[in-house]
Amino acid sequence: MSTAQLTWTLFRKDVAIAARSREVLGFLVIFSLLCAVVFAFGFLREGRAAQEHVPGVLWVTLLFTNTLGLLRLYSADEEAGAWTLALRSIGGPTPLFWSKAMLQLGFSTIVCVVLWPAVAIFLDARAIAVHWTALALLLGLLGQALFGALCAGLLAQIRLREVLLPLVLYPLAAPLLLAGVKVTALALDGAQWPEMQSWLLLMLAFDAIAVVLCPWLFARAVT
Amino acid sequence: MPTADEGETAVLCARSVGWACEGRWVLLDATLALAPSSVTVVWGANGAGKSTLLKICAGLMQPDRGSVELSGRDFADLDPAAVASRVAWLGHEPALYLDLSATENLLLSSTLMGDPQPVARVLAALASVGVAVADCHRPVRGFSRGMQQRTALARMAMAPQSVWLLDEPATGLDADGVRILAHILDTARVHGRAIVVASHDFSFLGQADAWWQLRNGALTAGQPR
Amino acid sequence: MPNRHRTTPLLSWALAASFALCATAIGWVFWATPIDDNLGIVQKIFYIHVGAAFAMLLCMVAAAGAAVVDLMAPNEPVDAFGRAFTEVGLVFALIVLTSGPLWARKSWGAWWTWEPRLTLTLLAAFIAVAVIAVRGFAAGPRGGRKIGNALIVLAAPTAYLIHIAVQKWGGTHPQVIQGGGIANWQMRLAFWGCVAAILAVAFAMVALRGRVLRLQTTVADLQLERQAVQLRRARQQAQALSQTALAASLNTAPPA
Repeated sequence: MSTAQLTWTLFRKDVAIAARSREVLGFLVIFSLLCAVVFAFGFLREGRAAQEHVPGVLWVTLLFTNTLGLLRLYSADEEAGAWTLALRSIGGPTPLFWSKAMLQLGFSTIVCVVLWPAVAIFLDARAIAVHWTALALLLGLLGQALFGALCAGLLAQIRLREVLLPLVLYPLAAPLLLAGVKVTALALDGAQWPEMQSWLLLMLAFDAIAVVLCPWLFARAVT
Repeated sequence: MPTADEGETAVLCARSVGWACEGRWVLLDATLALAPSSVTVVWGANGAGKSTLLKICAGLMQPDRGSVELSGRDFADLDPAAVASRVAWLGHEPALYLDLSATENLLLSSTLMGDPQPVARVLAALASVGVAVADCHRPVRGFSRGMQQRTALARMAMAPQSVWLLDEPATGLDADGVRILAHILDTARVHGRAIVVASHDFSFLGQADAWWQLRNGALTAGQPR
Repeated sequence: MPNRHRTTPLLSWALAASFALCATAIGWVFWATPIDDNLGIVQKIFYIHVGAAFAMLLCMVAAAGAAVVDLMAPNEPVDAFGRAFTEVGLVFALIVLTSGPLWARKSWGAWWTWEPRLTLTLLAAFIAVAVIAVRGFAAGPRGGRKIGNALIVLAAPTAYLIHIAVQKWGGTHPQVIQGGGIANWQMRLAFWGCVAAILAVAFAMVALRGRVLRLQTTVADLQLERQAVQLRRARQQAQALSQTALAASLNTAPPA
């Protein structure tokens, strides 16, 4: 049994559970829409919300929704002690990490697919250079899923983790947020690759660090 | 106390294990050697440290003192996955995904243990612990605690590992369930497993090979009166 | 019997010397250096601000190094000093974050700007708070130690990316020391004197805090050792008692 096969087994299990209970994903989508509406209220000027707020609203809403999702990421595993079963798999704890990162990436992608058009409609944004924003969102959500799966796993056995997760995750995810907001803003202004290149490369560098460090730290520090 | 000879032939051997929590020794100088084809009972009052000892033997916790060896090799030198592939552990909780059915749970855990089983074998194992065919495909969330424990026992019955550590395995079981548990342990012993049962209730264990009382953090040979 | 756990005289002297040095440097700053032509009296914050920033940076880097070492191979002294570096680093980060805005208000006209170094310092302070909180709230010292170290290891490369990101994002970066450095020799002397004094204080604080943490571990170990002796004695007594009881029951047994 390779790590990849075990990861796939665990991921399929998580998808089956998510498909059956359905509660978490549905609430995440609703929460993200609600959050965007609240932000829009905060930015209303003379009954209209401006396009310039799209990047901020989109990325901060995604971060908040991800935080909520991460707090529930390991809940099925903790419920009846199945956590130890997955940790003590024949491939060690790493397959558990990868399966959870994949699940979180899947959840946040689905949320994003609903949220992004909604934010664009709420804030009256034009659809230009959508592909650059899509690329930035993909890189951003990947990095957040990897860091998030690690942090949520590390904090799973700690009391007050609801409070500690944002405290731990937000400073670490800051580069993704800064770069993501910038790329989205540039894309809305009609900028092209040369202007966005360095920001997207920064996000790529962040993801590369996450791919290498997170599984290693998970295997070492999660008990 | 096991002698040095016993330690060498043992599959799993905990040597002078100590573990402290909040400035108190839960375990101190706890020594336990497990021979193949044997059932060992660890008994003692609530809070004596039975669960802690089993978790340390399963590699889930690191001892503060002493060491645990698997066929003469220290846990510290072994990959956690290597320990997991040799030592099966059943804790207080049944370790089930409550939204999956009993069959799915067993298929998943057999894959995680590196020994994927066909559905027919899983269904047979569930039948042998008395889970009705109609219940095999229902989410285990709807099961009673006793039925969940039976499902966990079916998983143990299929476990390929040579060392079995069971923490209060009779939790929630009715008289019939306890008989099934005794039968599973007997069969496993015949097949060469080294088994430890930690419990404060041992009505189901007339035929154990060794009895150890855990008291004051250490193990002393002796059967409860 | 000599008490090897008494604070060593060397450490006490180092601490006293560092505070004396600090007092002298501050005295020098306020009485012997001229008032800056452009910024006025506020410029004097600069002497403390920059020194504190150096101390913070050194502490954070050292804490990251200690975390890597301890995660690879657990080591008690390394862990104790890693914690001390994190805590002292946070203290100096707070000094930087307090003195910075006071000075910024006067020199840049705003309490806060999203300047790279400011932003990085703020986020580093948040990360240090998170690490200290996680260590405090984890069940037992073992888990918290690993998780705290993992967070620091994760934060180290991220800090570099934050720095790049904010630098690209921030636009203008107010330059503190123009090309030629500090022209006035008295200012220069006071500046380097302050940096040396604050680094000495930081070093003394880390040494003291690390020592306290190590002593706490020693005390806990000694208490456990005492408890182990008591536990073994209780076991022997219980064994002796059961043997006496056995002998008594044999003696009083009726003749067959």
